[in-house]
Amino acid sequence: MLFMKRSILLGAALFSLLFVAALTGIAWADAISPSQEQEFVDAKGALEAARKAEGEKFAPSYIKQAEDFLKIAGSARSIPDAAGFSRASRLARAYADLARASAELNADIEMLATTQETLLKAKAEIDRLKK
Amino acid sequence: MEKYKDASRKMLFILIWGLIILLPLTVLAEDTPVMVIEAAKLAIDQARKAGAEQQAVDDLSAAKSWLSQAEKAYEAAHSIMARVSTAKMKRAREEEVIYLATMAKVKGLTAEAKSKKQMTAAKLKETQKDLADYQSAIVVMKEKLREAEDAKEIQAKAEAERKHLEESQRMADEMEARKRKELAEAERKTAELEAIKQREVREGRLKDEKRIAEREKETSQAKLMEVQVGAQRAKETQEIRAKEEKFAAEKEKLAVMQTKLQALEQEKAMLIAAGKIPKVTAEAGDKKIIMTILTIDLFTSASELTPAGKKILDGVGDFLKSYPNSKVLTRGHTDSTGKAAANQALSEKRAQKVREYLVAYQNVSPGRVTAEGVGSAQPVATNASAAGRALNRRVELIVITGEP
Repeated sequence: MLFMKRSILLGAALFSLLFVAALTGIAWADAISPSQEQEFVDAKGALEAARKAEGEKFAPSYIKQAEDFLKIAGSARSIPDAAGFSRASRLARAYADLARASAELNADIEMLATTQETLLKAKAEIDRLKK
Repeated sequence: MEKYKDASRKMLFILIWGLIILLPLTVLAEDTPVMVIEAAKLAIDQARKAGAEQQAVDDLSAAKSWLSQAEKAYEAAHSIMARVSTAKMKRAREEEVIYLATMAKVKGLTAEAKSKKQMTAAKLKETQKDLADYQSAIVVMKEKLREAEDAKEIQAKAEAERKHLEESQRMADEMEARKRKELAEAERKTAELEAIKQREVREGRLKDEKRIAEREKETSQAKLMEVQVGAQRAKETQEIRAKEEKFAAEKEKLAVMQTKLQALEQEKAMLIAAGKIPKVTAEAGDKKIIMTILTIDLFTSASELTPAGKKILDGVGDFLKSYPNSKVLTRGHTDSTGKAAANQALSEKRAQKVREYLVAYQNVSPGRVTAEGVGSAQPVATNASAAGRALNRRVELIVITGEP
């Protein structure tokens, strides 16, 4: 019980320090520019496009990364941390693009596999028909 | 206890917000800058291998650019100047390197993915084309196979039909053979029946013929009888007719004979009556009576009637009165003394004198009496002697007895 009390107190102290540091960071941070906001919007748009390209099916990890970076960007905006916001937005956009490209690739790969399978079946069918 | 709960809630709240705030740091702090840079290089290298230099040039360039920036930032972070900076600045520089390297890695991965996507798409397109070809080939082959199966089915049907036809033909042949046999049997029976029938017919015909013959015989006999009867009757009729004709002829003949007989009797009576007239010589001619009176008994030498001559003519007149229908020709004759013309005139004169006396004194119709003279042309005796010449000098009264 005593250990628990000490742990709770230690954690509270740690978070208090962190909270203070955060507030300090916020105080130091720059204001977010419109172009940075646009980057954030673009990132969201890219993520949406990735989702439409079935990114959640074919590239879920990259979608997750993009979502996480968008959340980070959102958090950075609330501080506000313009640099962090911009980085997170760009990373979110980059991961969203990657997710989209990967999704399209995997979709093509899957389609290719399906097509190849169908092709093999067709070949087999042709062989069977030839016989 | 309640205090602990409130404290726990506050701690949980603080923990959540702490995580939210520190998340970027935790994400970026997963790897060291070197590791992230190496990962970025690896990603770019993979992208190159995947053909990004041709397929995803922009992304690859961006990745290289980010990597270059990351490497520069890394070098800057590890420069002599950086070593003297504060921990916070070091941390910021590391975060910057990690960020740039992460961007390079993500861009490299994106370039790789796009490149692979291009290649995959090309391969997919090719595969789809192959598949389309194969599917077309399958369709064609299936079509051919179906046609072959149809042909086989048709052949099978044809075969079945052929077998059916053969079976039908066989059955038909059997039926035909059976029918032929039945027909032969029927023909045989028919022939027998026909023979029987013909026999019966023949017998019947014979009977009929016999009957007909008998009937014909009877008929012939009847006809013969009829003919005979007819002939007999005809004969009889003919005989009767002949007899009748004969009878008629005989009757006619008899009538003629009777007529002749009457004529003869009349001539006989006339001849007897004429013979009774004095000085008249009567003789019978062909249907006539010739009464001859010598000239010496009738005329004077001047050729005038003498009383005795008139008395003789009165007897002739009575005779003609008895036969009122008879006609009389008075014909004068002379002897050959003298000239013929004188004799002719003399004979005509004496014949005419007799005719005139009979008409005038005996009331004989003028139409009944004609007169002619023949001279000496028809002597009844020789003119060489006086007796002969006296006989030649005469007057003949020819009475026609044909019409009493």
